[in-house]
Amino acid sequence: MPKILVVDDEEKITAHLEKFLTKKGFTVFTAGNGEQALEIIDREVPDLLVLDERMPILNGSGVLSGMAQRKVNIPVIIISGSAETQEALDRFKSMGCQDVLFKPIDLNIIFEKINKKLGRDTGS
Amino acid sequence: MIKKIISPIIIVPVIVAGLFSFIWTKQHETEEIYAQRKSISSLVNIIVKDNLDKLVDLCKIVASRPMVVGLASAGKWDDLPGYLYDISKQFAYIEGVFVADKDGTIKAGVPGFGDIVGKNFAFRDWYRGVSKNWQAYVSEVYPRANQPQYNIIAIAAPIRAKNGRDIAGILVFQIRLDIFGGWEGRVDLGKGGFVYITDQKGKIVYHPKYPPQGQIIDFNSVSTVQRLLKEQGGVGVIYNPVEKVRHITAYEPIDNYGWGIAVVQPVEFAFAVRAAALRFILVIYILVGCLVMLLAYFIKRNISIVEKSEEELRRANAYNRSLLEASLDPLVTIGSDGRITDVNIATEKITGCSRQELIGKEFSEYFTEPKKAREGYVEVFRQGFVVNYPLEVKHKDGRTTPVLYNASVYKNDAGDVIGVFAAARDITERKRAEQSQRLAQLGQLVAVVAHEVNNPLMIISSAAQLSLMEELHNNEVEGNLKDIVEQCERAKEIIHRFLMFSRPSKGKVKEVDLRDVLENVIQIIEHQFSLDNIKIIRNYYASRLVVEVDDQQMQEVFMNLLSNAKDAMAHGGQIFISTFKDGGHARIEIRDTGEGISEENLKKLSQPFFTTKEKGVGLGLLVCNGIIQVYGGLIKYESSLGIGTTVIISLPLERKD
Repeated sequence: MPKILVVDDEEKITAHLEKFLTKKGFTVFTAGNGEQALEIIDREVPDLLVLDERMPILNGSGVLSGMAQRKVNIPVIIISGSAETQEALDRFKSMGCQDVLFKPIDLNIIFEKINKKLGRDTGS
Repeated sequence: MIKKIISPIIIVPVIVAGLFSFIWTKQHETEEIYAQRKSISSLVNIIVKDNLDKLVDLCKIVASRPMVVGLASAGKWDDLPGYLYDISKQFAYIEGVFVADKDGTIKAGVPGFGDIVGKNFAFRDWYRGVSKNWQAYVSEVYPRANQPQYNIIAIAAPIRAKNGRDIAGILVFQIRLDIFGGWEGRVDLGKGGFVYITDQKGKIVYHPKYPPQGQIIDFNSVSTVQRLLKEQGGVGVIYNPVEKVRHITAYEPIDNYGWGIAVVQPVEFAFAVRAAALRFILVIYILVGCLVMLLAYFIKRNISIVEKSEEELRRANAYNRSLLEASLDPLVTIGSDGRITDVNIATEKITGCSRQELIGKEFSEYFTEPKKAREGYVEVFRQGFVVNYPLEVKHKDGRTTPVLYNASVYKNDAGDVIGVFAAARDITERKRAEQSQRLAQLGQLVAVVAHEVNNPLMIISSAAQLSLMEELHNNEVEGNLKDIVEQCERAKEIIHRFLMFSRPSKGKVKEVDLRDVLENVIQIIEHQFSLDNIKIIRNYYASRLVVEVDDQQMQEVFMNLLSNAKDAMAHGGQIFISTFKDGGHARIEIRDTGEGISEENLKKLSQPFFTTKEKGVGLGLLVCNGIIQVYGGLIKYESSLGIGTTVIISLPLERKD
């Protein structure tokens, strides 16, 4: 059962994604900011991260840096409020993260991307 | 050029005239003097000859007196002296009188002939002269034999016998030489002038420098005398080797006597008048020369001043022109009739018209709003100037440049307004910068709004999506939920476009051939378009048109424009895609045969959120404009309702410097 950590400061977003992904058979953890996210990463070692960029305390980029420090190498899907344009995308790319989805997100698409990242068949 | 020849032109004639006058005067004066001297010599000649004639006549009269003839014919010589004595007393200049017989032997004489009577003097010149043809004769100068021994001349006349043929004897007058002197009081000989008289042998009869009773002077070596001896007259400057001086000498032979007279004046005195005249002429001409040189100098200076002013004018013109040309701002002068009188290169550039084309044209033709331009012009006349008057200059190729005009009137020397001097400041960059700044601010705002709006949208959308995953058994609810998801997606798209519009930035710029970019887009859409009965007709420029752009952004532009064209042709049609090279620009024209855009709507094309499409956002063309402008290009739209629309894009060609 793959473990997915959803990080977003919008509680409802994490809640909806948790509900959806749980339905799809994942074990889902949620975090409201980067610091919490890093704690969960340390504790639970998730298989994949769904990460918002703009967050209080520690933002998405901060989380990616923290992961790099910990030498944790897990796939990440960025979910962006779309304020982040070309520069933001370039920054994510330089951190090794190619996948960016702009909110609002089609849930089926995020499901496809997660499966692809985890090397799983979509099964549907 | 004229400056160089003006001096010779003026001075040479003066010199020539001066020389001519000098020579003419000299010659004229010389001739005058010569004539004058000649007339003096003629007068002297007449006087001398008259004297001689009188003496000879006297001698002949006495010799023909019956008493003399009778006594001589009778050989009664001793009775003669008493009579002769009376004659010598009667005429003071007759020094002595004697009679000789036919052979030249002196028979009687007075006074003081005691020792000489009986002596033969046939060797004497007087005897040889008178005996030659038995005519009266005037002898050469000689010292007489009787006492006191004067230098004299003898006048001899034959005493003819009563029969008239035989010679009874010879009557001789001894004449003192003094008689030939004393000219000073009688004739004006001029300063230093004198007369000398020579006899038939060239000996001096009279010469004021030689006392008559001194040694007899022979003047044979003097050229004048040589000529006189040949009975020639004349006048000239003659060197006297005896006196070793140069004189002007007028000389004439005394007819019948073999004598000659010479009227002499030292050259310096004779030519004193001439010299004075020549000096006068010289002074006059020097004065004239000075005046003329002064004149030449002033003319030259005037020419210099004129040349200098012309040169200064030329320099001032060149300076003014360089000032005009130094300005990067378009400068123009406009006459009081509203026609352009001068422009600089910047004006040529901004209008695309040459100086020749512009000069003489109505200035307002070159603005997008001629009326407003003319109002500004009137305002300059009314107020004397305008400051920062906004206008748009039209370029030949249709481009426009926003400018701010600063203009003022200019006046002639009399203070009359003769035109307007106008300087335009190109504010394209400023406008662009202002727009960029506004867009940047808008961009920041949009970024914040996007984040703030997209999160709620995400929640709404995901909530709806989760609900749709439930077993609803209610089509209406399901439809509503789907609407929610779709509209969230639409809102997302609007926000995305808004972001694109408000933050236009150059993407990954590289050199691309416009044809390749267009072809990439056409390949994607062509199939779909053909299904909608739309045909794409290409008309590419023969060579490559390389521009420096982000090909992704450029594709988005073309995609947008082609999509608009398709939307305008609900019932199918044609899209003509043409490329041209236009100077340093590439021009792309996309023409459709669609419904066209009304004039009113055409003006609104650049307004955000203006759309005529049912599902349009009204940002597509703004995004296109933004992108094209970022690369220094222009985009404009031409349309006629019912005929179609043409989009014209101009992009600067990549420069291969």
